[in-house]
Amino acid sequence: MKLLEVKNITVKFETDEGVFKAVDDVSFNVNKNEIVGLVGESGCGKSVTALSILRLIPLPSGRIEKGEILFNGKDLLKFDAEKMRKIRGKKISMIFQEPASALSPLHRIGQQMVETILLHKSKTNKEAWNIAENWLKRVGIPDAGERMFAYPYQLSGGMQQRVMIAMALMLEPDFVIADEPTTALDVTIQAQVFELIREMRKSHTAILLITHDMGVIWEMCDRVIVMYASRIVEEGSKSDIFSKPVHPYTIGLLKSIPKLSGNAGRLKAIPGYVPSPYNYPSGCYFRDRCPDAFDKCKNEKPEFVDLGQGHRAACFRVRKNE
Amino acid sequence: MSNQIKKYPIIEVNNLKTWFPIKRGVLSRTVGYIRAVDIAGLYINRGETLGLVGESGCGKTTFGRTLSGLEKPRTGEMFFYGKNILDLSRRELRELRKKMQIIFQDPLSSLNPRMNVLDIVTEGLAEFGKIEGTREDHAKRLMNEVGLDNDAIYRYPHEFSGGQRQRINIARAIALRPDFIICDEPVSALDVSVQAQVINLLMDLRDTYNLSYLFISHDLSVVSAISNRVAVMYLGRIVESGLTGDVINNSKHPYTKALINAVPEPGHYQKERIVLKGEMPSPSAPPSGCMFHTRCPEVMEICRKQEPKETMSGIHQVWCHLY
Ligand SMILES: Nc1ncnc2c1ncn2[C@@H]1O[C@H](COP(=O)(O)OP(=O)(O)OP(=O)(O)O)[C@@H](O)[C@H]1O
Ligand SMILES: Nc1ncnc2c1ncn2[C@@H]1O[C@H](COP(=O)(O)OP(=O)(O)OP(=O)(O)O)[C@@H](O)[C@H]1O
Ligand SMILES: [Mg+2]
Ligand SMILES: [Mg+2]
Repeated sequence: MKLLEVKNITVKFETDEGVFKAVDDVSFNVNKNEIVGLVGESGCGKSVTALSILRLIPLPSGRIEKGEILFNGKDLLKFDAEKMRKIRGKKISMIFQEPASALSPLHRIGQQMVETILLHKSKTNKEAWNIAENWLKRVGIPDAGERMFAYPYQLSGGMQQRVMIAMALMLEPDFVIADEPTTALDVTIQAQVFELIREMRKSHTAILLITHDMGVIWEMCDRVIVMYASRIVEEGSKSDIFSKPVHPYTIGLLKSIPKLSGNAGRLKAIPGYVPSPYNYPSGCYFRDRCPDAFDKCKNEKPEFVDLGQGHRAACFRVRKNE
Repeated sequence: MSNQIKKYPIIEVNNLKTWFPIKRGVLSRTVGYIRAVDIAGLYINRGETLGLVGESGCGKTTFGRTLSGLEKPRTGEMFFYGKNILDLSRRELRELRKKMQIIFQDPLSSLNPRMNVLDIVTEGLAEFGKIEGTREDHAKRLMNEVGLDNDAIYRYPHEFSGGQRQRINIARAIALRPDFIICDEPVSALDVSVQAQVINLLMDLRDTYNLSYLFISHDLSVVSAISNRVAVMYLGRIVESGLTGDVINNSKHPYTKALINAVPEPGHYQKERIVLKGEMPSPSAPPSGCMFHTRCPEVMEICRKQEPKETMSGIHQVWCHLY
């Protein structure tokens, strides 16, 4: 059952140096109960994709130029502001990448959580307080009762992140967009948070999990979408992406995963840098860094090749039946 | 060279405690303390990278902030090139700010939203009269060093992605060519490929300028890639430290073992991960005896009563009653 259908979304930003596409013709689906991973190099448009779903692209510099975002079959881009406000938090919630962009520095976290609950649910103050405190416990914050009184700056980076996770999950939405939710969390607490997310999924919550951490993708996701420089380059089931990746960028990404070892030493990185969004090259955006690029990659934009069972990749080297 | 035995320490810390008061009520009475940092002893040699790992909330950032003078310790000594930082004069402190830099954990809140990148990365350079060529040129060179576009210098922090902002932070930190950088989760906002580039960059800078790093991260794989030595922290204390290879391959402390065991290996199903049970105890009411005893799989009677002393074999130290 499809919960979210993102269709041909293009997002543009206008800055002093000109106009550029942060997201270019991106389409994907998220089904009910599904955890879909979104990975890709820093700056490739993951957060902007997420923000566009919630219609939080900063105005006036940014705008969704075209596309549709169907949630339960209805186009969110056609909703008015009031309707959208009701959707946010209650139906779709977001865990933001940086705590500073989601938590108010001036208010105690308990108060912030209680206000959010009261905004969407008919509860008494006391009930809301208990829900909030209970969620802080569930995300593994020691002394939850005491910490309700803390200001964000009094919490460690990982604790702030867990407060945001609690805030996103506590309204039990149908769909959670988690933008790098565990970057500040060590493996043990990560495991605890993942357990929570899995529980949510059992009660039919779907999740779009944005992360650069392939370990997280491996642990959590059913399907993986790989983005590079504003476009999707490959999509497939977790096992396809990990054991049969076909796009050279995906392959490079998998090779750069740091391994636990006793010897310090240089890490494998994909050579070169992402092109500037103000002057993306012609053809395939990855070609300058691609070990397999040839003439065609310079001249034409690669279209998706369907490899079956939802595995697709945009690369001229990829053949249907290999 | 990285001489791991305490030889030419750039940083040395003794009995350092940083506590935060918990205030309650209209009179803001202090009702207790969060004992964020309690470090008996730690050093970092010149040109060496010390990795600091440990669970979220164990005190890593607070230790880094204390070292750089942003938090005041309750007691203790901190030496930078053999001089106690707490005794420095104003002029010496200014000099210290040039030599010691910090890359903050949350890139968004540490960058002034009203300054463009040009001003952010050259602010310190201008203050100390260290700009080479024009301000623009210098800023562009820094952008190249961290892998950002030249034209990025005219943009504002909010116009970047999370990972790009972290690189701006790094550019600012290396601008003054410091001797020592506290890197607080410098790459956790970056994707693996950029992560590898930034770590390689930090290693190159270390080799070129004989830099020393305190490299804070919760990610053992990242720490193991860059660090000569690793210290493992739990509830404000160091529980094990030693050469990276020894700590990873021959770990002694049950907490270190649990941390290593929990590292996921993407693409492999076989590993049975043992995840630590139980909650991290409250830092305002730490357990008696060994801090870890409430969650330790190998807990003994003595652990509940007596605080473990350090056991040494060479430079591999462990604070645990098993040894
Ligand atoms: N408010 C904005 N104004 C102008 N440009 C922006 C704005 N927000 C993002 N961008 C640009 O849009 C592009 C995509 O950014 P986005 O935040 O989606 O990246 P990301 O994939 O989430 O990266 P990261 O992994 O680093 O968080 C980047 O080039 C970024 O600089
Ligand atoms: N300014 C402050 N006021 C009060 N308590 C604080 C303050 N800063 C930190 N703390 C507390 O000190 C403890 C250690 O926090 P710290 O930020 O050093 O942890 P950390 O190891 O860096 O964690 P993380 O990996 O989550 O960033 C936490 O309990 C935190 O809530
Ligand atoms: Mg992002
Ligand atoms: Mg921290």
